[in-house]
Amino acid sequence: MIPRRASLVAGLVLLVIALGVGVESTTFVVAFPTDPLGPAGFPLLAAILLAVGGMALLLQGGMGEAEPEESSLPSGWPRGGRVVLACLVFLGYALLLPVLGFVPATALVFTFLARLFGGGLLPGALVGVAFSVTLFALFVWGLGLALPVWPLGVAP
Amino acid sequence: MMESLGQLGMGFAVALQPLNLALALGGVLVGTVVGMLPGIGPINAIAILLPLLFAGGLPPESSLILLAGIYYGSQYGNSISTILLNVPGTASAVVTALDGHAMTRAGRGGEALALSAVSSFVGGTLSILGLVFLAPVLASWAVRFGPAEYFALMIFAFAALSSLSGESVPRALASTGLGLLLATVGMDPQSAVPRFTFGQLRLFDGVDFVVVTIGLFAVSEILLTLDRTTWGRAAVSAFGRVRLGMSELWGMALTLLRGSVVGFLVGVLPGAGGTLASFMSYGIEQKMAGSDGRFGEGDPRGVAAPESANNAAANGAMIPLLTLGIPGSGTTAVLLGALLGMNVTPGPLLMERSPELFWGLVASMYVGNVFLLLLNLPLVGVFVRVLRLPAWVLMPGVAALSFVSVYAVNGSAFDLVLVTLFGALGYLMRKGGFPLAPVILGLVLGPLMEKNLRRALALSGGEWGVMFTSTLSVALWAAAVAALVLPWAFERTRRFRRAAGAETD
Repeated sequence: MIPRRASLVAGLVLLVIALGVGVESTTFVVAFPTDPLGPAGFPLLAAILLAVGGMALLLQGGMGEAEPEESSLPSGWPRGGRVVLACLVFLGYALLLPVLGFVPATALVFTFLARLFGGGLLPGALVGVAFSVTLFALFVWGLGLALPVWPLGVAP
Repeated sequence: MMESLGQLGMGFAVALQPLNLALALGGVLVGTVVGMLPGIGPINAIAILLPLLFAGGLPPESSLILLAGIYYGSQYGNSISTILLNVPGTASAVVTALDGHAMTRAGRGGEALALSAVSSFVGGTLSILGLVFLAPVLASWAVRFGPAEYFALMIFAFAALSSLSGESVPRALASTGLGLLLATVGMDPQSAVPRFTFGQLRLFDGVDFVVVTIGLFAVSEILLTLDRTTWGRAAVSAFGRVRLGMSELWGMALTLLRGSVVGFLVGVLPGAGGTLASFMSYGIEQKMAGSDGRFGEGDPRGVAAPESANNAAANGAMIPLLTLGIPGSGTTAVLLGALLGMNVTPGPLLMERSPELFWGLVASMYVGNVFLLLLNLPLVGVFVRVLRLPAWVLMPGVAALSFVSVYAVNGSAFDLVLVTLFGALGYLMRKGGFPLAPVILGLVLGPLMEKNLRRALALSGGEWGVMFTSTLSVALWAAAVAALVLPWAFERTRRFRRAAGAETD
C-alpha cells in the first residue's frame, strides 16, 4: 500500500512539471509556421496527460480513496543513505572514467559498490579488477568499442 | 499463404548461415545468463546488451538474429530464476512462480525447468506459424492506414497498456505523458526549434533511448536492491535432473495447445500481452482440471500453461510490432528501439521492401527457440552457478556492464550523468508505484505520434475533426476509451454488488 501522502506529493510534482512544460512551450516560437500545430502542440498534449494523472492522484489522496488492493507496489519512502551514496558513486564514475581510464575507474567504482552491497573491501577490489579487465578485453578487443583506455595525459 | 511459406524458407536460408547461427547461439547464451540475474527481466537484458548489437558492425539481418537470440534467452533465463528462486523478473512470470517454485520445493525443480523449456518451445513454434499467416494479412490491411488512423492506433496502444497492466490508471497516464515529453526533448524535426534542451547543446539530438532504458530499468533495479534490508546469498536448492518423460509430455499436449492458442491471441492485442496470457491460460487449466488438479502445490500443468502462453504471446506481440510498427508492451517497445537503432523501421512496408529482414527475423526467432531447447536442458546446471554468486559480486557487475553499455553508445561521459539521473527517477517512480513500461513506450512512439498528428492536421488545415472522420479511427478511439473505462466500471459494479450483498445477508 502506498501512503496517501505519497499520492499527494506525486500529484503535486506532476502538476508542477505540467505547468513548467506549459511555460517553457511558450518559448517555442517559429518565424514561419510550417504546420498548424507547431512545435508546442504535442508537448502541451503530453503535459495535459501529466496534469490529468496528477489531478487524479491529488483527488485520490485528498479524498482518502483506497489504492487498488491488487497492486503489488513496492511501498514506503526512499531509505536514503545507501541509495544516495550509490548515485554519488555513479556520478563519480562519470567524472573518473575520462580521467583515470577504463580499468582503474571501473575497478574503483566496483569496489565501492561491492562495499555498499556488504562485500569486503579487499575481495571487492580483487573481483573488481578482474571484472573490469575482463569487460575491457570483451568490449575493446572483442567488439572494438571506443573506451578511454589510458589515464588522461598518458600517451598510449 | 504459400507465398509466405516460400519467403519463410528464404528467411531460414538467411538464419542458417554459419555466422548467423553462431550469433543466435551466442545471443541465447548471453541472454539466458543476463535474464537469469535476480530481478533482471528481458527489458533489462536487452537494454544492457544493446550496444553489443550496435557496435559489432554486423549486417542488419545478423544484428536482428543476435537480438532475437538475446530476447529468447533472457525470457528463459527469467524462467530459471522464477522457478528456482521464486523471484520473477517480469509480471508475466508471476504465475509460473506459483507451481514452478512449488515443484522446486518438492525436489522436482529439474522437471519444472525441463517443462518450462519444452513449453516455451511448443508455444514459440505454434505461434510462429500463426505469425506467418496473420502478419501478411495485417500488413496488407495496414498499408491503408492514414496519419489519423495511426495516431488513433497509438492512443489505443497506450490506453490498453495503461489499463491492462493492472496498475493504477492515473499513474500509468502520468508515466505515458512523461515518456511522450522525453520524446520531444531536442531539436523539433519540423521547425528546427530546440525544445526542453535548457541551452545544453548535448541535448539537441534528444535523450538516447538506451540511456533512458538502462537508467529507468537496470540502474533503478540496483538502487532498489540496495534498499532491501536483508539480502543474503540466493539459496538455490537441489533441483534434480533436468529431464521430462515422453508419456508425461503427451499427457500435457492439450494443455500446451490451449496455452499456445490463448497466448497467441492475447499477445496480438496491445497491452499487457504476456501477463494477461499467462494468467488466463493458468485459469483455464485450473478450471479444466477441476478437482484432480493440485494447482499452487506444484502441478506441472501450472508451469506448462503459463510458459507456453507466455512465449506464444511474445511472438504474437511481434505481429503489431512488425506489421504496424506499434509495440504493445515495454519489452516490444525496447525491441522497437533496438530495431530503429539499426535503421530498420518496422511497419507495413517492411515486409515488402526488405523481405529478407522480415522473414530472416521470423526464422531466427525459430532458430533461437530450437537453440534454447537444445542448450538449456543440458546446460542449466552451469547457468545456475551464476545465481550462487553473492550480491556484492552480481550487482556491481550489473552496474559496471550497464555503464559500459551506456558509455559505448556515444562515448560521452555526459550520458553517464544522464543514466544516473534516470536511475534515480526510475527508483522514485517504482517507489511511488508508477509503471515504467509506458515511459519507454512513450519515448519510442512519441516522435511517430507527433509526426502523424501534425501531418493529419496539416492535411486538414488545422481542423481537429480530421482525427475522427474514418470509421477505423473512430473505432480505435472508442476502443481506447473502452480500455480505460471498462475495467474501472467493472471494478465499481463488483464493489457495489459486494457491498449490496453484504447488506442483504
